[in-house]
Amino acid sequence: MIQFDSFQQAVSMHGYGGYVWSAFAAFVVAFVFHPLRLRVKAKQQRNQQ
Amino acid sequence: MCLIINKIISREFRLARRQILDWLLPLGFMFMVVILFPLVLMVTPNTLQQIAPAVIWVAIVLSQLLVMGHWLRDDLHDGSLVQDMLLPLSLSIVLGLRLAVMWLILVVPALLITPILGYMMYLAWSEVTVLLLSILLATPVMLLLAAFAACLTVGLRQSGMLVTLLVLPLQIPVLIFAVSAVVSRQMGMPVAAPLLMLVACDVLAVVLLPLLAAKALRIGMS
Amino acid sequence: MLVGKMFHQMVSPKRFYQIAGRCLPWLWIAFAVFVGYGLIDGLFIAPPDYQQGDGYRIIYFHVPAAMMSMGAYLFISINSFVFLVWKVKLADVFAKVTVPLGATFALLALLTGALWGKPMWGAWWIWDARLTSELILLLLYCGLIALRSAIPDTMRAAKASAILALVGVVDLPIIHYSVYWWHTLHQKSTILRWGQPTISLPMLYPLLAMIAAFVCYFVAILFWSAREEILRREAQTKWVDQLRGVAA
Repeated sequence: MIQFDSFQQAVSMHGYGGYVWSAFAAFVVAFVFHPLRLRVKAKQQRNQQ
Repeated sequence: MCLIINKIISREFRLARRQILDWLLPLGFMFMVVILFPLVLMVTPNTLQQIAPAVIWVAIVLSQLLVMGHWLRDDLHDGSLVQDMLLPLSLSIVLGLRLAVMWLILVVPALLITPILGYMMYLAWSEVTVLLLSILLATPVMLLLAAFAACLTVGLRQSGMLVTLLVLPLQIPVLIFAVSAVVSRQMGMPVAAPLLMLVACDVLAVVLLPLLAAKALRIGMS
Repeated sequence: MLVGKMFHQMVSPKRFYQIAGRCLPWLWIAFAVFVGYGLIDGLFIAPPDYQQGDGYRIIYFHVPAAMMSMGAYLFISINSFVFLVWKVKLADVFAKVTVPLGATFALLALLTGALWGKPMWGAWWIWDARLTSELILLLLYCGLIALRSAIPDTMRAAKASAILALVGVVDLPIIHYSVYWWHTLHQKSTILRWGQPTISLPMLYPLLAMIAAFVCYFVAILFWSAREEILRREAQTKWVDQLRGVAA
């Protein structure tokens, strides 16, 4: 089922690993950014009140 | 009614006659920008020919945005904007009339200077003709879009730059159609398609944008 | 009249605050399920593309991001229309909080597009129709952000942003069409393709899961930030005071 025979292969993705994992990293950063931003803003609001 | 229309139109022409720099400076700007390219780029006439439509068109767009950036600023400060809003004529028609006159004042010098610029950029005369036609057809939409952005940002501090940033993405399709008309002529292909798309954009813009600009102006002045 | 009353109750900020609060945990659970399945299946289980090898797996980020960036803009324009015509304040709240989210999706689409382009066509950027359209969409988002932050008065900012969003959405199909027409005219050889003309089923399922994951994330962040925005706007009302009284 899993297309890679070893952990090394899964990381390197037959040469494309750099690109795919960078895309994954960008996705993680984008998706963590908004909850963080909202948390910070909410904390600021509560401190103001 | 006709009296008011007459007054609005004659006022615009009178202002243009008095403040010649208002339309002369954008012309000078357009000329300077275009001649900068062959001046700085030591390239073959062929390359200049290829970039000429885009360069001339970008110069036109930028010079128009320079003018429209502060189109309403003086009227806001001396109160004539409020006066326009109180006229018995619908605000969108008032704006439409003012823009029609502004279009004439801006486009005629541009049309006169473009053959000179086209020749300097090694464009053939048939291509210059298509370029003139594209200027005639595309500038109404461009002006209407810029006026809409100016009404949206009336009175704001950074309205000049804001108008440019808001309007350039919206003007991109018009720019593409205009430039592609000239490039199509250069490649020997029929030019009807992009020119007709420009006409379609004109129709859409003339019908919708004065209303939206008037609404934006009312919101800005409330 | 009763329908009108029901509608008014539905769009009241207080009602939305309560309903959204109850929906949020479910949205996050759904997101976790979809993204977990999508990532594992898409990155490790789905077979490699016969033309692009394992590099195609970037589509599991790129395609949902691009779809969401356009969907978000459509969502903003619908809310702008509702706000301008029916003066529903909740619609303005939705439009305001969606703009940075949509811009993030557009930026992600462009970044992942570049990461996909380098191994496939050898360049980080090409002036292909789809990427160029996405770039213009990002510029439209930036325009919305710039306008709302440049106007100090909130009511004027809300209405002005709404009109700008509507003009943008009318222009958007024209932009897409003109860019696509222009680029296919001159670059017939470098038309962007996803790989194979029809995507095979084992590759499709994780893609659908990632799209669903992005939608869940979008709705979750939408509800969360809308709730925060409502608290900010209704800070002087009784129900918000009650909320704070309970919390404090």
